[in-house]
Amino acid sequence: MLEIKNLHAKIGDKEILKGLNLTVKAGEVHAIMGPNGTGKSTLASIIAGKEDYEITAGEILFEGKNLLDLSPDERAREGVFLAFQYPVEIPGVSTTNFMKAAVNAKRKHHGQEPIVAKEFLAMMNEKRQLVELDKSYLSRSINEGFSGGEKKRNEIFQMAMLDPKLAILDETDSGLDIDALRIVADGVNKLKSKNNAFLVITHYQRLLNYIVPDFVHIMYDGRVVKTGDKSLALKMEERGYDWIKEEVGV
Amino acid sequence: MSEQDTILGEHISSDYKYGFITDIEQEKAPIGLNEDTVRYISCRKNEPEWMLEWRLTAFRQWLKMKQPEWQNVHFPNIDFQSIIYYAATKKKPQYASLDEVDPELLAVYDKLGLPKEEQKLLAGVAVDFVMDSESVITTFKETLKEKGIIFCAISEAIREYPDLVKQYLGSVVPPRDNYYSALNSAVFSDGSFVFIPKGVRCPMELSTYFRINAQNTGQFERTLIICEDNAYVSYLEGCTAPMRDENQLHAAVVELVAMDNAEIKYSTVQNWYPGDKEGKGGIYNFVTKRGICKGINSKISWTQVETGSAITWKYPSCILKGENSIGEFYSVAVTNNYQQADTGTKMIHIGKNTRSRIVSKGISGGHSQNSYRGLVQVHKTAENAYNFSQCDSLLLGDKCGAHTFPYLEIKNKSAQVEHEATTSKIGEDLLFYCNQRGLSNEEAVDMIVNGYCKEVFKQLPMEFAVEAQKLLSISLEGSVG
Amino acid sequence: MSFTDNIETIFETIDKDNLSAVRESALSSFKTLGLPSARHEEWKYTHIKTKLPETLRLVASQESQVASKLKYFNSIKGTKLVFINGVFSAESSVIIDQSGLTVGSLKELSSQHEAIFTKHFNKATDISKENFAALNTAFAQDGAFIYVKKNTIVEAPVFVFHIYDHASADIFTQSRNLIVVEENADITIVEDFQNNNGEKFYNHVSEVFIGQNAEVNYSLLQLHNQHTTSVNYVEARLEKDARYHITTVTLDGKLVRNNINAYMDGENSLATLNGLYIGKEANHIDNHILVDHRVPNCNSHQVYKGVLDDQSTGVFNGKIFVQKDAQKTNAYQSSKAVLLSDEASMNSKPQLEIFADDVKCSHGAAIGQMSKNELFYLLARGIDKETARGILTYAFANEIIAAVKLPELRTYLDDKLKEKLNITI
Repeated sequence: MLEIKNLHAKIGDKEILKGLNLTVKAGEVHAIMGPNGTGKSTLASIIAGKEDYEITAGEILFEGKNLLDLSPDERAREGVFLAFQYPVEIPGVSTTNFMKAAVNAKRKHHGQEPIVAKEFLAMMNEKRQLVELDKSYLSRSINEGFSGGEKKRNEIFQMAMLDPKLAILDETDSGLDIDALRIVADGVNKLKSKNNAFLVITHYQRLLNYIVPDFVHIMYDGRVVKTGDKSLALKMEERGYDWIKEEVGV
Repeated sequence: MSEQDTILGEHISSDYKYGFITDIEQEKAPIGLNEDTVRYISCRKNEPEWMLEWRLTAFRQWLKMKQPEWQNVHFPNIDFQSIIYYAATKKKPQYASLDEVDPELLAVYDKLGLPKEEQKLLAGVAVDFVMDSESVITTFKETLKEKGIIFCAISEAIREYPDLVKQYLGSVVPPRDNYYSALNSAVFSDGSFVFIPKGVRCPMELSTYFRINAQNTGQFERTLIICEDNAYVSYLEGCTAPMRDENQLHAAVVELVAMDNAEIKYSTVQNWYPGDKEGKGGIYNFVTKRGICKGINSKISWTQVETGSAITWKYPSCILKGENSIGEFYSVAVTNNYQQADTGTKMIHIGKNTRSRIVSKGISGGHSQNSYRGLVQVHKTAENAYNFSQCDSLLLGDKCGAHTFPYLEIKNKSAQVEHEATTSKIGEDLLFYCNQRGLSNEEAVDMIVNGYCKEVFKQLPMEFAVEAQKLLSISLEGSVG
Repeated sequence: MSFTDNIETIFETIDKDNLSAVRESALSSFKTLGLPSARHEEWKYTHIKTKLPETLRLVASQESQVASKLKYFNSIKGTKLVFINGVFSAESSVIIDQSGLTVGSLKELSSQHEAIFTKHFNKATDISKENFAALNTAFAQDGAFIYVKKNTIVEAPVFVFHIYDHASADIFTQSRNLIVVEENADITIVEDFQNNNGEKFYNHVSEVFIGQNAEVNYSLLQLHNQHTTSVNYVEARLEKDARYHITTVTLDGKLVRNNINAYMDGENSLATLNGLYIGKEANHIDNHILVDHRVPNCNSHQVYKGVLDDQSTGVFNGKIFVQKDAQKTNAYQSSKAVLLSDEASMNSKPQLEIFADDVKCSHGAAIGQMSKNELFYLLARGIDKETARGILTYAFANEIIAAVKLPELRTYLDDKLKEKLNITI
């Protein structure tokens, strides 16, 4: 589904990704871990198409298409979803209206008619329960005055609404208490299928107790330096990142 | 409601949709302005002598006045002698049903997307349609009459209700108030008159669609709305105009009078031709709108969505004289291409415990200039006056300008006056977030701008709000890359 | 009769100096502009025309007990330049020598530093538009000259005292400063206007040039009395990375008009403009602030606070211009005024004019009275109403004083504020 080959990217004069390789197949859950400043969030932003970065080498294929040729909204309509680390607030625009616009943009892209109001409302109702989001949030302006946990739940709710092929969770666990973490993880697990894939970016092993990864990648200095199964995450937690530095000889 | 929505929805498309010209025989006054022009207009309207005298006095005052220059707008000098001051549709219809009406006129209604009689009935809207200067048709008159409500052309009111007109005309906006109000007082062609008697709540939204039609015809509307004690009315004004190359002058005067416990809600969606992408053509809209809260606990609320006109210059204002009276001003002003807008409000607090609220949202794109100009005045007599103003500007490009000129003049220590203003653009983060959910830049801007204006839109009656939102999208097309 | 009638005669009496050409053009500009009438938008709320003396007289030198008037400052270490009725007094002045620093009388030093003088004099003001700046340029006799060479950190603050003690009621003093601070230099300036007896008129212009990465802390004190009529210009030009902090404190005056203008000429420069004014009796205090963002990436921050009692009037006009190319500008302005009496009034016109899109600009203006809740809280603790109001007013006004950087000055102003508000806490 997703194939990243030798990806190099920089912001200004600073090179952040230095030859990153990653392959994700449908039905898989990948976790990316690593210390701060190694380029984890940059990777998420680049897949989603944030313009601040300059790609100097490499390619990203999504379902065989060159993702770098597509605008951010096209990528989203093709099925790439990014759950933001810091979701923005949009005053005056309700989550309902926002989602309606997004769902219809995707449907239009795939040659479908706009969704019928009744069906849409039913879908909203169903999906919000996945993340135990109170009905009242849907009529409030997007993320305005939401707590950190509520914002993250709203992200997962939107993910459920848009039913992406590839979902990237960018430090979705940061700032969450244990209950919120469980709610978010349950939501993700319910959305998991053999047709979609997840890329979970996290700093801590904690989240991976709830969302069990098939692969764990350790990122360091703009590259994936080690790949393993879920036990790698535990090892990481236990021994710290210095262990990795020694292990891979940097 | 749904029919209204569809109708309004369908009739808005990307370029200036309402740029058609109706070919109905016109009867025009000779070009230019002198006392004879004023006499001609008065005579054409079969006006009584006192009205002619009133017009002539205003005309003589106008001659002594100078065009104001303090606005933050620029335009070539207007040659007041090259304008036709009166144009009426030739036939003077007094029809009982739509069948009798000139089919060409009906076609205009259709193009405008006006509902037919039945649709009006369903929607509960009475329409007093002003085609150019002349009132052509007035519906629902009978229903309104039963309640003692008068809703008619002001020319008719001058003949039928001279005492009311004499008492109130010019009482809120005196002819000498400013250059354009003097001009309007001398040559006003027609407009609406609304009188809601004591204790009556007008059961429907009253609306008038104005159109500027005949080429080179200045449009000088005059509207007078009076709400007696405990009365209520909501009045809607919507405007569309045909596409033209030459600039056209529009100088309307609107006066509102609210007595004890009365409430007047006045909503406008203004969508006159703004000129083309190079700034050629377009309407000059120089309007004086003012209401007085004369009685205790009275309320006047102005809501406007201004997307059209090459130049807009207007300040719907409230004189808060009655104790506990309330004035409100909600405005969205959008300028794109080479449009210029200098708009805002005046809240004059005279009575005790008077309150006012100003919400202004300016959006500028292209090479346009968008100014908010407002005055909050608290007189010595206005114990416990309260005002809150919020003036936000959104810039959608680096060639446009946003300006804020608020004046706060406070002469009473118990006053609480607060003004807040911000200027910003749509952040990259916000756009990226929307992109990530599959929305294009255009769609994202549309949504963000509509969210930004929501506070104003929610003041509008539903069908107007829908129209306003769509107008906004059209007006902003091409403003973001 | 107005003093403009005899203006040419007076002009003839001025000694010819190297400024004659500039002076003549300033005079002709002033004659074209005349005195501002109420129709002049910038003078809409301040009607100065009738408040000025009928004839124009420039100088009256008379020296009295200057030392006693500077009593408070005697304890503060610093350079002290003293001008008595507009004339430099070498005897009363104290200059602390430091290499890289030149301070003294503009009249005396302008020829010694001709290159610096010519390069800067009259370059920050616009005499074609500003009536009183033109008048000042035509007639100015003396004022402070402060020149800080590059990389010089001026250790002791520089005080500039203007003492008015003449007996005539028709002298209109025209004083003029030139302050040039070169790159990487740093200086603190305190300018203090004192008038302890009778009616006085002065028109003061201070031009400030701040070089790259230089910093100027400037305090302007107007603690004079209710017989003082004055117009002040502080015109600052900021180069790249320059930092400028100006505070005006106006505690009295018959009519005070301040024009505090900052021009952001270099990228990444920062200006903070603070002001406090307390109006009592028939005081009229007008602050006109202009921040002109001409280049990208600059920050400006304004906070003005006023307390108006008795029949006093306050005027605040704050303009923020963001020119076409000044992207990434961050400009903030806040104006707050409290009215304490039924006769007091406040006119406020905060103004934004923005021609660039990638900017963050906001302003807030509030006019009102003391919070009733706060007042009640104090009353509930047993404090009498008068004291409670005083405390709340002090709390409101103190924000500006508390931000003054020089500790001795902060203490001094704090005492003056309390004295003015008649509170002891």
